[in-house]
Amino acid sequence: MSEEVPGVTARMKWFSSTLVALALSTAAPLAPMAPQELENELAGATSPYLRSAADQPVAWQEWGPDAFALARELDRPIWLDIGAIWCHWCHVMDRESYENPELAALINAGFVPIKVDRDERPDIDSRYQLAHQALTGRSGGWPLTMFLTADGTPFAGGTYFPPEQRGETLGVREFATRIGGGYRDRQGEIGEVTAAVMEWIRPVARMTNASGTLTPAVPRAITADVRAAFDPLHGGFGAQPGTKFPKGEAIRLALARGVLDGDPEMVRSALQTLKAYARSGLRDHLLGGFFRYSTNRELTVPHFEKMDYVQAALLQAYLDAYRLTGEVVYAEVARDIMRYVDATMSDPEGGGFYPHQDADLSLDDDGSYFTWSVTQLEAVVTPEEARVLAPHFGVESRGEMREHPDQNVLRVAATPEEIAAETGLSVEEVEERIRSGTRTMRAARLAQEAPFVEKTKYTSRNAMLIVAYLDAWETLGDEHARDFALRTLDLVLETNVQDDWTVHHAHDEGESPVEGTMEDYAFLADALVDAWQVSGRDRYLRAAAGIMDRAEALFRDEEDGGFFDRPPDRQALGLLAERRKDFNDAPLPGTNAVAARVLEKLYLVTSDARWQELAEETLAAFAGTAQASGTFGGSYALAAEMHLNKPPQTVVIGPAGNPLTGELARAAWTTYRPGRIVASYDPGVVALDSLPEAVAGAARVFEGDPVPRAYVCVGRTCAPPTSSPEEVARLVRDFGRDGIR
Amino acid sequence: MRRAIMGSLATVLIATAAVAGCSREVPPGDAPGDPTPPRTEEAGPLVTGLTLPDLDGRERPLSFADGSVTVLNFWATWCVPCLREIPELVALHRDRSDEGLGVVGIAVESGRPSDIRAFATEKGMIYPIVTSSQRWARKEFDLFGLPLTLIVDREGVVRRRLIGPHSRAEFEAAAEPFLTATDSTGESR
Repeated sequence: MSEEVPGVTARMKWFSSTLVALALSTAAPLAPMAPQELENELAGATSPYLRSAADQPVAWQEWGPDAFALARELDRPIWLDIGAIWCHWCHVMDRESYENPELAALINAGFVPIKVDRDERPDIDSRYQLAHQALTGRSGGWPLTMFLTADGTPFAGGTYFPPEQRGETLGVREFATRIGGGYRDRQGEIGEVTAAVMEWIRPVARMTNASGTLTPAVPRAITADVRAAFDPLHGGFGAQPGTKFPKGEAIRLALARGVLDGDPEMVRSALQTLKAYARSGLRDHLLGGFFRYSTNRELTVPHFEKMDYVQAALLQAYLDAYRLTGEVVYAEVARDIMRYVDATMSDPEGGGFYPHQDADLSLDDDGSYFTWSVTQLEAVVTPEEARVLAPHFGVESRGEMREHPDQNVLRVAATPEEIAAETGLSVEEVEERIRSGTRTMRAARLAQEAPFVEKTKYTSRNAMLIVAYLDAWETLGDEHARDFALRTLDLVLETNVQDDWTVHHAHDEGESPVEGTMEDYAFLADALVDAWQVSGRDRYLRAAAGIMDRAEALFRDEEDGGFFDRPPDRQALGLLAERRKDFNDAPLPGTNAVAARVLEKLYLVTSDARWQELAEETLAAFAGTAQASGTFGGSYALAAEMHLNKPPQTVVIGPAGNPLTGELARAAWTTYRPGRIVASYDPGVVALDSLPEAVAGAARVFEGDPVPRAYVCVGRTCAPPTSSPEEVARLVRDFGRDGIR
Repeated sequence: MRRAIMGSLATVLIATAAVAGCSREVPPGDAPGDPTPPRTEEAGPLVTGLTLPDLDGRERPLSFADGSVTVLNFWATWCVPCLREIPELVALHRDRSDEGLGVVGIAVESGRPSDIRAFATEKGMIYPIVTSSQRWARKEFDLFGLPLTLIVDREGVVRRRLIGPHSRAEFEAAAEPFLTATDSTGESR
């Protein structure tokens, strides 16, 4: 399982040679250990991923003071395994090594093994991924296998390891015997390595040298790199062979700057990429939604796990494209993503979104739930349909999958027009067969057992999809999207937020909640401001401000600006003691980028300059290094642009029951302008003295002359009010832009 | 008739100037005290002869009868950027009106006079306030965004056009050349 990481440099590579030497030279046989029998403790874990490992012979411990105390007491290194339930290679390593009693016994005899769920503990994962970079010079991924001293400091590690040495790659057996055996004798060398690793990690985690002056040049540099990274041949980012990750935020940045800067070529590249994704093997053409990434430049062979953040980012990118171009194809893809999320990645009864769906049913398949052979296709559809569907979806006797060569990843290989020309059928006939055949194929898949869907409702991850669903309401007028988003938001507030605005990452009935990180605070506040815009419910805005106040108290870096992911904690275990900040989209939107966006929005809707100052400080904390973020910097660059060039703010005053009120708001919502803010007030419902001063002014105007009106302001200027939806759209699109009135 | 010609000619002049100058409209920051120089444009319509109703409904001229230089501020009760500069205008009028530099506020689309009066009282707006529709303001002064401030010299000629909120010092700097001038060239003697 690979993960893209920005800014891996060669300077850490010397560690890897040091470490391999350590591991190899420490060939002493495993010293007999005290007959301390560790037991697998995962049966009571809250994470389903951890519970799924409860039957493994490895004596897995949960991350926590007990496990660390055990390591100290036994004077053993820690074998840290970080994975996720959607991660294919995690399951492979489970089966090959962790379910093997002999290898498990080796691990149990020499280590205290700890297993961590990446999605439950992004704070632990992000730090040890950084350690992996320090030790190997390579970006990490999952499973992440790290060897730690008893106090949690990493001194060796890697990602997936085979059970036994394969070629030059050491296996679990070698690591278990050599590291387990040499740990006590080679404390001196290990101490040197951990000291060097920590010296490297500390400033990188803290981003101590990242701050700078925020000038327009910073987001411009990111935009220029995004522009240059588009693959003109296949779409997406990167023109080299290798993996390609869908990057919704970078696409949104390209659209935004392309429009505002008058750069039609950049807009075209962004739209071409969205069209390429929509045709490609990255998309699930039957059930909707997008897979996590493509293993090749051509976007034909994905890894099939489906992640909430991929759906959220792409949903918003397609909504942007639809708003900008009015082309129905983008709205269709957006609806298709929601169809998948509604059906599979959400809890229709209780509310809430789920984080991900696994790629496989078992280790023997490599996405077989999603792929098709010619035989499988012909078994379910009529011969007439197959004649059209096979060329349409590119289903051939030789497919793309390495383990199952007859299996094909569906993609749009030929359009109805091309098939019509080839077969002599009319385009309408072809389209009808595609429609009916696709229905049958979908039903066939739905009748099968589907890959596992994790059902933990994480705060930050729910917030991302709430934002995207509210966007779908604004853009498409999809009431279900709005209602479900607001219901989910209420659920998150109820279960994961305390009265003092302390936010939890996850809630599990009867169990202690997982502590929230800055990601949960920032993402949730973002969703709350958007929910306030859509619903006009004041309590959402109050909650957003309360949560950001709390976040400031818990996480703010008072020296360099920005927000750490965790509060200071003297009791923190292992690398959790290191303070860490992030702002890149890797792969979730950068926490500090989202925080800056929320602060900027809070400033715009409350006019409270404190939020603006905090936004400036947050952006400046990364301005010295952000220029190099490239396609990882989409969210940061959009937040920076929002701060430097204020977006339009529309206030609609009118009774909710008057159709014109809704039309004015809809005109603002459906018009493309990055970062636009829209708020509606029903003067018959809200108390005047509860309103911001300027809104109260507008409400009094309404009292004197009760016609719904929209007020559009941009930065330092406001346009006179209008009751014309067309004029609202024009103002939102153009008002306050350079050279345009 | 003369009024009408002047008005339309002025509109054309201002429109041209505004478009040409718009590239500076977006500031690098939005914080109060932003060091961006105020946006100023040469302009030239006459306000002499124009009147608008004050909060008691009485028609009132837009400049001062005593030959003061007038800071003519278009604002609105619903306009956040306008609210930001009101304290600056209040201080300016308080300290300088006796020496020939005063403020007149034009409340645009701000509803009932009684609401405007309540608002102005709360903000301590001690300078004269008249009311206008947006149509009138657009026709006469090509208003397309608020706040808009015109510096009107002693002859009633609009000499500067400031878009967006400004500080007292910026208003004073824009008005200064016309305080000592006795003709309409805008040059000090």
